[in-house]
Amino acid sequence: MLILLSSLVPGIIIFFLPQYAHTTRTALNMAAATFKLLLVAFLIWGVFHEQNYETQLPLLPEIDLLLRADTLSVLFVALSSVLWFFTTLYAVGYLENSPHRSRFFGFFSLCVSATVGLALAGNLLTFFIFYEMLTLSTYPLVIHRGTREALRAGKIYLGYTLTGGVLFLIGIAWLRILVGPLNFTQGGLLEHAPPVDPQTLTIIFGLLIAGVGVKAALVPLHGWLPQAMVAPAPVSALLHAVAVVKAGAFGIVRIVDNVFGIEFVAGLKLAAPLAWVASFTIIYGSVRALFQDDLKRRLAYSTVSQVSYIALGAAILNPVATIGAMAHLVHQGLMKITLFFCAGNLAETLGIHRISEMAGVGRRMPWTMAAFTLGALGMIGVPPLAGFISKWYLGNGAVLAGEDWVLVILALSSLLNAAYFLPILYIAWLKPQKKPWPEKISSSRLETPWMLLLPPLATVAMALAAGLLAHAPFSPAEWARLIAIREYRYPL
Amino acid sequence: MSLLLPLALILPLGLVLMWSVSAVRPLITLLTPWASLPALAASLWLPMGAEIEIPWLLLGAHFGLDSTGVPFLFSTALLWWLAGIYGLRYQAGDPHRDRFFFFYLLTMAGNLGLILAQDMLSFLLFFALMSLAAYGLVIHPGSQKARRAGRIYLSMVIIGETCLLSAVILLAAEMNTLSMHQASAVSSDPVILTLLLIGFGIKLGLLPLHFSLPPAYGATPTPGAAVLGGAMINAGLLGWLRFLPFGEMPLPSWSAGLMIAGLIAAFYGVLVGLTQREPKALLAYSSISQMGLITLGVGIGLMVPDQWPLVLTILTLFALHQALAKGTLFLGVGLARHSGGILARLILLFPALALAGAPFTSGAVAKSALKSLSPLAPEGDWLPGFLLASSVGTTLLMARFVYLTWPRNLKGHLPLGMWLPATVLLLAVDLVIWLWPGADQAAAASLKLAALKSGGWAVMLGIMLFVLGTFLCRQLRLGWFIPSGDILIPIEQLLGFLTRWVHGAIYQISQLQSQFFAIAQLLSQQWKLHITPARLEITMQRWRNFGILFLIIALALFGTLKI
Repeated sequence: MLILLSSLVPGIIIFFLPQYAHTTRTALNMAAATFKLLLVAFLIWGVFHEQNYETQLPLLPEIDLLLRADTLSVLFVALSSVLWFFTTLYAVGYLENSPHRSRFFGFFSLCVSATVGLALAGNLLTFFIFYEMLTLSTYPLVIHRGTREALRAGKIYLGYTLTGGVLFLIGIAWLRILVGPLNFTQGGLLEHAPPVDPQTLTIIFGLLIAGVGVKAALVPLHGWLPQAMVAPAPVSALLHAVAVVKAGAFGIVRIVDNVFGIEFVAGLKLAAPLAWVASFTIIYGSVRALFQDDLKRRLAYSTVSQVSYIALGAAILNPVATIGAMAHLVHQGLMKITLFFCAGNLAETLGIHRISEMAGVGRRMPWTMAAFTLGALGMIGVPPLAGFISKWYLGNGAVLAGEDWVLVILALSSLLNAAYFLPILYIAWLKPQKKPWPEKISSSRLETPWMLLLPPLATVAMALAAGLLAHAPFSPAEWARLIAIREYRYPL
Repeated sequence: MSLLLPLALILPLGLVLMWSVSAVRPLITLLTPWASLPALAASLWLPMGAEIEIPWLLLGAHFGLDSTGVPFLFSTALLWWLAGIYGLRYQAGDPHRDRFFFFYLLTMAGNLGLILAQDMLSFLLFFALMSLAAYGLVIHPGSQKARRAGRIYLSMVIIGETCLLSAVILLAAEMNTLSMHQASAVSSDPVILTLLLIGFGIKLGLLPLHFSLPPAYGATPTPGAAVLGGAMINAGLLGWLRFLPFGEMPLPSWSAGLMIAGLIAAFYGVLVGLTQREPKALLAYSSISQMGLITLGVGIGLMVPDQWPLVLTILTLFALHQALAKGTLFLGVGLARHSGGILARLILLFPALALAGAPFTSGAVAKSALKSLSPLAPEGDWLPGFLLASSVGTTLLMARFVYLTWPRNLKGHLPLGMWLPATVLLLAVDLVIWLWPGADQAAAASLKLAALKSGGWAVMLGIMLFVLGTFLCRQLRLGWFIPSGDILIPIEQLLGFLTRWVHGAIYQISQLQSQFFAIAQLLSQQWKLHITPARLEITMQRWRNFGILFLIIALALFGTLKI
């Protein structure tokens, strides 16, 4: 598939480019990102008109590397390539004049190709391969700074994710022995498989979910995420918004919906524990976020909490809740990447890392903070921002499924979100400035170089549009509805 | 004409967007009050039932004009317009005037939009916009007090929003529609009702939830306070009218609860209000007490579904009167502070009398309208007496208010930009109610001799009580003062305590992890776990041990063979 190659090839080339080939590298990167965007647009159009895209490469006897574009994968591909485009732009601006840029952008591209591959994977094994590739290609990004702290975070990150990967592999192998080829199918592949002992299936489900749950940062497995925020801002942004965390959430959706199938999961009574874990994660993450002073760390705990919305939506087993989960996959990505871009801007322009240092920053960088404000309000779920739409669908689905307690979780999490985001806004906009800002870096009239300013503004505009135009065709929520209609044969 | 409705929605929002260009900001500030004019015109001239649908917006947005909304739209738009013009002059010396008017514009957009919204999501959207943007108005003075008020206000807003969102999700799931016409025809599910009562009750100062209003009104600059106390408080009432299941089934227990809350609030507001020293906070308590009367009416409406249209007319009338009179009083506070003068006295005195329900004022009409509810209420003969008592109370409160704000200086010169809007509003207070279609019965009733007499007596009694009370307090050197927000103080202390406790608990949890590892370390030291594998290895290497092990394995294998 061309899309996959469009970031893989530049990634490999970039490794061989010398450090000083700045223009070539940027041009190559941006060209690849644009090319990929075009391809994805074409793909969306195709899938919308129900055309099939499939590539099959034999890998091992009886095991194929299968890439296929269905509605769900297109959603994720679109998200990752759009955000890749902006993150690349941002990273070019952010890492200007820092060492090892070739290494950085090389792995950066690899990481995105892994994400895309993971999205397009047509069977569990392909999924696993890209999943591990993602782990390995993000490791150098996490430790990019090379400090002791970064190395330690990298070690923890690898420890967690590789363990997860092993569990995942065991699960896959076991399932493969039991039921044969593991192609993702609508309604779950187990539907047509030979009957298997339910107890075994429960264990396999547990293994698989634990495997992807590490990346999705479900609560007992979330320890790596707050550590990994030592990475440079664009990496954190991508890590939290698309690549790693979302890969895990996406995996959960895949496993629940396309491997086991909604009916099977319901029959085995596996959803309730997953929903409970997700709910606990939502609350726990928010509560931890309350007590963090480091801005990125607070955002990281917020991710822990927000990504579990997706798992929760998948676990409710109601098509409307699934729409909420899918929509939140995109919405959370847009909002969180905005927040991280803004945090990066503050760090890069003014050297601010802690929330207590943010006093008066709203006056110095009004555009950045405006984007941050909208992103934060969206996270709280204030209408008309994107987060509101996801909450709406999740809550609605939960009520329709008869799981009213989810509403309490949603309400509580909204309150907690407000409790940890609003003080940031208050400090940034209303507290008087404490010490003078450092000298302006750029001579331009803008508050920060345009390459750093444009991406957060663009993503926050998209988050606003995703909420405001939720019923317009090709909006994330509407696409999520298409997924629900096609994959779950659900009339809406 | 057909453009009027979209214009009423888009004009304020469009101006908000243009605010991002800093060069045109002063111009937008000047235009802000006028942005509410399309809405005002729409409320007057647009035919009932005009509507627009925007299917791609949110989950299908639907805006329109209905009979419930029109009076609200009229009073709201009028207040925003006049208070805005007034504010331009009032804030003329304020270096941050543009910022104030930015939030003014945003809040106005939300307030007008929510009245026009006909589907639940747009309603929520504009309600949230209004509530959040008003935070900017509350904290505008930037003082410590204003910030505290803003913090309390915002916390309550967020809690209210969360309740509303949950309620609406439940409603939508139950009704399977987003349209409000069908939705309100529903559900008496206690959870939904509770959430709705709390969510909107926070806005209109329902009794135990009222505490965010007085500090907020006290802090906001007068033009902002006028719209907060006149227009926005009615948004909460409109929310109830739109979402609660009126006219469907009698809900006796809910109705009784609301009536009791209303009764208590009517007097509680007066009592606490009397102890206030900041006139705007006092007005907030007066609003709480007036909203108590409305809550009472809402309670009666829940009791007798078949009479709902009548109750609705009366409630609307009362809300209209309350909004305009309260708005005028807030403007009057500003006038008196600015320079005073005879006009300022008039603008303070007249609406105060109207609010107290003095004969020939709009208050008399509104009160006699409420009185006509008495056959509907259970054992309703207490209602006229109660209303009389509440009139006395309101008079007492208003007398205290006038006493607090009374401009001593008569020569002060009022700028045109301030006295003109205030006077227009003053005229509107009375004229509108007398001329309002649907108010004719009540108006006629208020002109009967008995009504005139009782109204007059109530006011006289109230004034006499006030004079007597003031005299006594002077003599006895009593100085009562309850900080605005009354029950807020214990709540804040409780919350502070809880926060510290939770913080402690969380800290413990975060320490748990390291303790967990510490236990493992302790154990391994105890039993020398880290050298155990090596020891095991050494043990295995001894020939004798190995031999025994080998024997066991061989025996086991042999055993399996035999079977």
